Amino acid sequence: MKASYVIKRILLTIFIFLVVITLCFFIPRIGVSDPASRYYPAQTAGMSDEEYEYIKEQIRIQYGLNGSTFQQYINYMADLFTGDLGTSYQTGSPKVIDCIAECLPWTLVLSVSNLLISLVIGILIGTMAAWKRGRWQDKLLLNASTITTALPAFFIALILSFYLGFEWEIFPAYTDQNMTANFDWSWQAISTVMYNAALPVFAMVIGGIVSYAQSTRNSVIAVSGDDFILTAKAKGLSNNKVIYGHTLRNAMLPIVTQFGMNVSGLIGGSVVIEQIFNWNGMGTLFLTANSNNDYPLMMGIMIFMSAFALVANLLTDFVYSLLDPRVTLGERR
Amino acid sequence: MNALEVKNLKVIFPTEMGIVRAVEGIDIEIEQGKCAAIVGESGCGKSVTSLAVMKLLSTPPAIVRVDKLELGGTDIKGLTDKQMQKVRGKDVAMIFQDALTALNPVMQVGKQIDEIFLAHNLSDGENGKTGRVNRKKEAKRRTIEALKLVGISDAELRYKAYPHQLSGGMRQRVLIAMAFACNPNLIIADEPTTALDVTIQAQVLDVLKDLQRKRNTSLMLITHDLSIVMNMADEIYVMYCGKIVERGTTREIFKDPLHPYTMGLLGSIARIGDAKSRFVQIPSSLPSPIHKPSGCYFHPRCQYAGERCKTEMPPLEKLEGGRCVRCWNYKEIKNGKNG
Repeated sequence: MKASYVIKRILLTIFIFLVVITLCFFIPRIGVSDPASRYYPAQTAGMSDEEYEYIKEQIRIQYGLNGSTFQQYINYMADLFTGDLGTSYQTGSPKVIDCIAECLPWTLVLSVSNLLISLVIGILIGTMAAWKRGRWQDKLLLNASTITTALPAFFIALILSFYLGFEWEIFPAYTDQNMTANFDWSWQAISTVMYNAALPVFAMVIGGIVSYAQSTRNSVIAVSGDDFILTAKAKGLSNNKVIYGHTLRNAMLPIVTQFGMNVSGLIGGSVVIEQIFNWNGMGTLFLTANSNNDYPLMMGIMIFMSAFALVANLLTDFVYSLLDPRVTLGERR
Repeated sequence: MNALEVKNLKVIFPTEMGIVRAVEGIDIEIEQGKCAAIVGESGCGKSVTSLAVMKLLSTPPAIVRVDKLELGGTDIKGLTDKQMQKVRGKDVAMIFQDALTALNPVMQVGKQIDEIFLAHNLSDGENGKTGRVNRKKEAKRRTIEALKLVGISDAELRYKAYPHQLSGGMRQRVLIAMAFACNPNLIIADEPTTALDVTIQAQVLDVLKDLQRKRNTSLMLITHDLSIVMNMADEIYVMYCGKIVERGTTREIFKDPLHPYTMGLLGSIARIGDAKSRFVQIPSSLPSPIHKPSGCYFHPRCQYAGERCKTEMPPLEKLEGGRCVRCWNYKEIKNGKNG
């Protein structure tokens, strides 16, 4: 990996990031002639049109929606460079960064536990299925993968919430709203979070586990047939050395790619699940912002999501080149 | 004492299409320090034979039966997989055909050779130091020695190279270094130079031959390339459809082939000073391993085939001096050629 290549990749990532911000700024404004209109008070009797126009202008200034769209864009970008994401239109005018800081950890609770559980259990099951190739364990995985591919996570979530939540009342079907407000790192609070997160995480990991297991299984089987595995055996290596030193090392390469892609979806990947379980995360925040035309908040969330995805992709590429010496990033042979 | 003795080796693969009899009862004896070549077309069971000797065929699917399997006088027929791990690499080693795929792509080649020393506990330090670090250091020292032995320059530098960073000839040398690492009695080379250019082939074969002579290692050379056999082998086994059809010393086989199939193989190689004759092709191709012909397996492609060849499999007839041939008509063919 050359330093010049790394710098080039980072600069390109920043450029893509700026393009994303620009698109995120203009697209929601398409077709909306005056986004501030919903905040105007009604024109009372006896108020002249001039006075009313003045009031409207004041409101536009208050929300930062005065001037042309392009002028707003320049202002927004200028603020962004000073680290200011603006103020939300929500009542109480909270800073966007505070809204995100409040919701982001709760989304990460769901998505990170989903990712880690899927990865670890998926790899274990996949390796076992490859080991028991063609037997019932393997066939079970194949059928499970057909089913979970056909069943989206939100459907599984609905079924789980109906049976485990409403019918049998084992886990909460709706998140306890006091959970976030009163969180204080006590064991009590942590166990409440785990109890409430059980169903949404469960709904997400089913698909995740099967997907990782399936790709691990295929990858392990493909590598097991490679010639260098035979070489390793012909050298007299023990089975463990062959499996851990040669098979898994090579079989994990595609899994790293899959993992990197899933990391980039950590923030935006659980919007629907959050809605179903009324989980106060980024997804809920984003949908509220959307229905309120809350531009600064929408922008802030999208900037976070895209920055996260871009950095995750960048890191995956770099990590991959460290794991596989054949990937020579940007080097000419 | 023979370096390798195989009696009545049979390998069967049950498939959905039918039973594949890959190897049908072959005997091989290789004297210590000699090179025996197993020659035949692709698909005749050569590679399966070599894997069966290493006990590297996965069973299932393969079914292996053998009456006698001895390595340097030691019976390995009944060894479990765990016991075989101590034998592989140390007493018998293997060189594979395509060095690019036979080496782990994400591991430095030096480390891949280290593994053999570490697996067989041969890297204990000279002054009794047996710690993990010392063993690794010693393994590395031995690996670099082994790399130098096969003519790799800058061995210290190449130790750290990944397989894709080396040339084809260099990679094959690495495989040879790997095979000779523990100084085994027997090395099985499965088409060791097929993936190389002709010029590189000659260099690599020189290295192989040279080391084999110096170390008095026995070599089982599996190939379809008769020009290699001529230079390397002391003895030749000609294999067809899972059976040995002719066996003899290299000189005997090249000067005086008895089996029509051997004649066909020899007819298809070029010889200097032999400008007038054209290449002779063996007509048609290898029969399906599931539906082998009745009688002698070679009869549909044999110009000398008679009625008996179509119904009865000829036995492997033993002639004087260890020479064997599996043909009903070899005497007539020989007389016909001379007369």
